[in-house]
Amino acid sequence: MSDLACRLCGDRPLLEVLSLTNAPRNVQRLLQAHERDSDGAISLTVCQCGRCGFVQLPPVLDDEYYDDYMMVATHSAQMQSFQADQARDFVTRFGLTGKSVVEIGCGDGNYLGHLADAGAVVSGIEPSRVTRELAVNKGHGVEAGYVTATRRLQGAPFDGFVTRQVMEHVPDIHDVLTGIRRNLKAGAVGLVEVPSLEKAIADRRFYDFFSDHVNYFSLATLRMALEMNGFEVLEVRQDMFDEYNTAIVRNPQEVSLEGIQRAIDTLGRDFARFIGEYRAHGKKVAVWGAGGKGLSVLASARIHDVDLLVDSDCNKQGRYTPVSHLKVEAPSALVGAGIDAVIITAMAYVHEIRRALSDDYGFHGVVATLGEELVID
Amino acid sequence: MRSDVEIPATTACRLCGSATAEPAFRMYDMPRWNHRLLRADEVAADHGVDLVLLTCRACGFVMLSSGPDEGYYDDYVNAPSLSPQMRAAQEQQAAAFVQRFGLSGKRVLEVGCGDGSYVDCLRRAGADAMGIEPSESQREIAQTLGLRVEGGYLSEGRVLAQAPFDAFVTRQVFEHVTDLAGFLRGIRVNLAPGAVGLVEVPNFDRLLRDGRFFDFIPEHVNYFTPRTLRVALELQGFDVIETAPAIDGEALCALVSLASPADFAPASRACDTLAREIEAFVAESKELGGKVAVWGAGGKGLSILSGADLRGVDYLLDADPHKLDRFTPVSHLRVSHPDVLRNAEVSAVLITAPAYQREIRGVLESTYEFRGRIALLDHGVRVVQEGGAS
Repeated sequence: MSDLACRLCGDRPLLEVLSLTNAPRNVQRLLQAHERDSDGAISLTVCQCGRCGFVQLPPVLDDEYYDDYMMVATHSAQMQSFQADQARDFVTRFGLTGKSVVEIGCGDGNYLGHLADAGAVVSGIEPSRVTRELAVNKGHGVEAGYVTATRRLQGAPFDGFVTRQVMEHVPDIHDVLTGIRRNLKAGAVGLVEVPSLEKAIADRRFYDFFSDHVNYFSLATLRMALEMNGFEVLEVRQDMFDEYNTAIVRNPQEVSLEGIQRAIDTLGRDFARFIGEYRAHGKKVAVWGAGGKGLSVLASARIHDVDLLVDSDCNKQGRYTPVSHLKVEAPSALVGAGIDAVIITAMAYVHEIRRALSDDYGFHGVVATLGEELVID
Repeated sequence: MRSDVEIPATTACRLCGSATAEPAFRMYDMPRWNHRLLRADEVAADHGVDLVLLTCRACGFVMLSSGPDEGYYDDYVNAPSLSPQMRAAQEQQAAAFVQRFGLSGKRVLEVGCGDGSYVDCLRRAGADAMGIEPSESQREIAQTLGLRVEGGYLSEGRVLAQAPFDAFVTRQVFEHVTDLAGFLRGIRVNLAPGAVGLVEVPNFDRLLRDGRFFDFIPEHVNYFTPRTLRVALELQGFDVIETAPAIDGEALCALVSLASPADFAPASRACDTLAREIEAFVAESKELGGKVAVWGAGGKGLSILSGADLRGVDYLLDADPHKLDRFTPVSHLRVSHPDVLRNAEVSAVLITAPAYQREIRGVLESTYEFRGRIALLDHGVRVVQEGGAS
């Protein structure tokens, strides 16, 4: 068991699932001749969360590790072709031609070139000075450092983002994903690519676990990480001979509660007015329905006084409503009570109640039903 | 009258845990609960509360900050006389669930089964179903129908005598739960490996679409969209097979299965065997004569080489110019450009860059006209070309 907490769900302790006793400390920066003497192997322990299943490594890298990080793929024709296709598909699928797309961790700017070739207006952010300079020399606008939840990027909000082979390096997944989302327009889309845990497991690749990669995403945990941070996941898939897990996401529109407020104002007003007008003319009004919805409507419309409240549930009869403190009677109380109008608030049972009103209780006055609006016969 | 409940600027989100849930909407002076009416002697002490809806800035979850007092559900009664239409929809849903996952004759638990009407549907569909329900009066109704129903809650660590179950159902319950993780963990410890489940909650999208403010009720502390329902379930180790509207769009239903954890044992064994296989490949190739090269000084390559005895390796190749003439950690091999293949008498190459092995094989053949032995990593060292094809 490890004392470490799960980076994704926060649970602890984690299960130790794989121990590597002879691992390099650093796999991206190769050694100069004079550094060999002080170099030695380290032990790595791969941990899995027993609750959500997320797989991670405890951090072993220094804080400045990425300041001069160098990992480029420009020397591979296969990779160039894959990236160019991927960038073109992304831009085409979401109509990003002429739109702003930011790459988080853009390295030497090679992929920015693919996105720009596909028609997007690109910019990037990259912590490594050496690769950033390569990107700037290619003519791209690239700012330094890391995305955080509170950082505003130059050119934000963006129409799209890409982050490839980055999230597996990130110690604070939520901070980065929240930070990315806050730099996006509502409706913006994104592409997130990481090495595939499924491939590592299927091919028994202990060597896929190394110190740079502190997170190992399956399709499920990649989706979860994104959804936890407010992204709508349109698709997850394995790519590049199953080497990569890729998610296509959208920054959803914020939930709007305006319609709800309008409904309260309108319905509450209509309801109160109906009762008020009847009673002002000396007529009697009953409400049928002391269920959950009925009580909500009564309270939100501030109805504290009607002539009769009935409900067919015998558990409710003889009891009082909260807030309005109306006593609930059996529907038979309608008989001979001189009621002129009945408002039905038990929406799911409107047809049943209408039939009971006329057939069982001989009521032939005005019936109003509450739905999305107050409907008066 | 306004009962101005103080709501802090931010609250911990029940779903994602970040302290970023903010008040979004308030309904003043509402009932403290909607499904238990007051006795005459309770009226004097009754008061309204504000329903304050919070939305999480991080994950978008929508919730009420708190629900009814503890113990509220101990005598909860919400037994709407089922309309024939509702009854038919439930029977159909239960039958489809039993059929889809082959649950006929299997043990199925309904968590929060109320009066047992759905347990009955499951039994009719062929499942060996039972329930658990905190409300005594509801439980008694179910027991009168001859159904098996346990009392209380599936609190942490409580394992029912009938566990493990092959499936669970929980309908119109999860929206009442203030401890989402604890609730699902309680279910999970009662399940068999590979168990499936059906989780049904009110459909928040429908509420929003139709402006149904009266569906915000104090008992419903959680308002799930397909995304947030999925997250809640996945966070507790369930794989979500699908989420879909149910019961005429009134409900949202998720089908889940208990995820089996990734099996690291084969990778762990490969850790030893691969190093030995590499050493064997190098030794064999040496015996056949000529020099031996390894291609790949990327992250994976370095990890592979760290565990092996590489004294027989003559060259380590990599096409990345930034790596040239540097030394690998742990194994301390010097990186050469693949062009050395043009002059050196290399007779065997082991490719350790898994993502690029197809490409590298192509380069060996076309650029360097290499006719020697080639091995790559494919569940171990696999020789894909024997040497001597000159």
